[in-house]
Amino acid sequence: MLTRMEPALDSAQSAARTDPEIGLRAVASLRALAGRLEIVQVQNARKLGWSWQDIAGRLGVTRQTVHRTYGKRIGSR
Amino acid sequence: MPRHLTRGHTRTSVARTSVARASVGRALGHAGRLTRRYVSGEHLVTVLVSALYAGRDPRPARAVLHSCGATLEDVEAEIARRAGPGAVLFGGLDRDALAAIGIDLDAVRARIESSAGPEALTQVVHREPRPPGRKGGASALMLLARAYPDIFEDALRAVISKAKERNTAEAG
Repeated sequence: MLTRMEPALDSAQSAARTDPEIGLRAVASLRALAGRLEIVQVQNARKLGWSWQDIAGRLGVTRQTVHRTYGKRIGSR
Repeated sequence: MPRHLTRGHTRTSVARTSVARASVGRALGHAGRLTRRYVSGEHLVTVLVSALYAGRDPRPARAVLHSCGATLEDVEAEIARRAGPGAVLFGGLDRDALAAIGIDLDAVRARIESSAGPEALTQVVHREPRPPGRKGGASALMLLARAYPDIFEDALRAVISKAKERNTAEAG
């Protein structure tokens, strides 16, 4: 799997070095992907009983920030 | 119905021109005024696909779907069922651009799907924080429509067809 992806990744990576269009689109998608993965991980941590304080610490933000962002969406169980 | 709104022209021309967007608006209004008895499933599919591809406000599309007894959520659920549990989570992302910076989206998806439950994956976009400076983020359905065009259209057709069957059964 990794071997088959390598040539495609190589050519794509060299394109990204020179073309801002691709690079900027990649950053936008990466930001969206990070945001969505964060929701999945916060959901999972809450399901396993983690406190908002512990979650915030791992994300490198304050407890208030993480609670304000996800408190209502995920629930304060 | 104008020729460019007929099936087959939907993706290539309707969604991408401002003239067509105006036509989509008129068609939506027209479809909304008709009763479910007179609007064909194919007409609804064409109009809804056009509206959602053009990035329009989903409310008229929602109203039109309601008129035949279905909801946008039914369509989202059908797409998620057909495209897999991670469809919503990974929909709307630029796979090629991510590959350009060394991220294999398929590999990420495979890892996440195997570690998180299907429910967690399909609910994510509904919970996505709004991007700063925007009043409302893109709806989950718009993201799905753009990420999985064929599945979206088939799912829409299936949902409308099921709703019509329900209506016929209730009427009979």
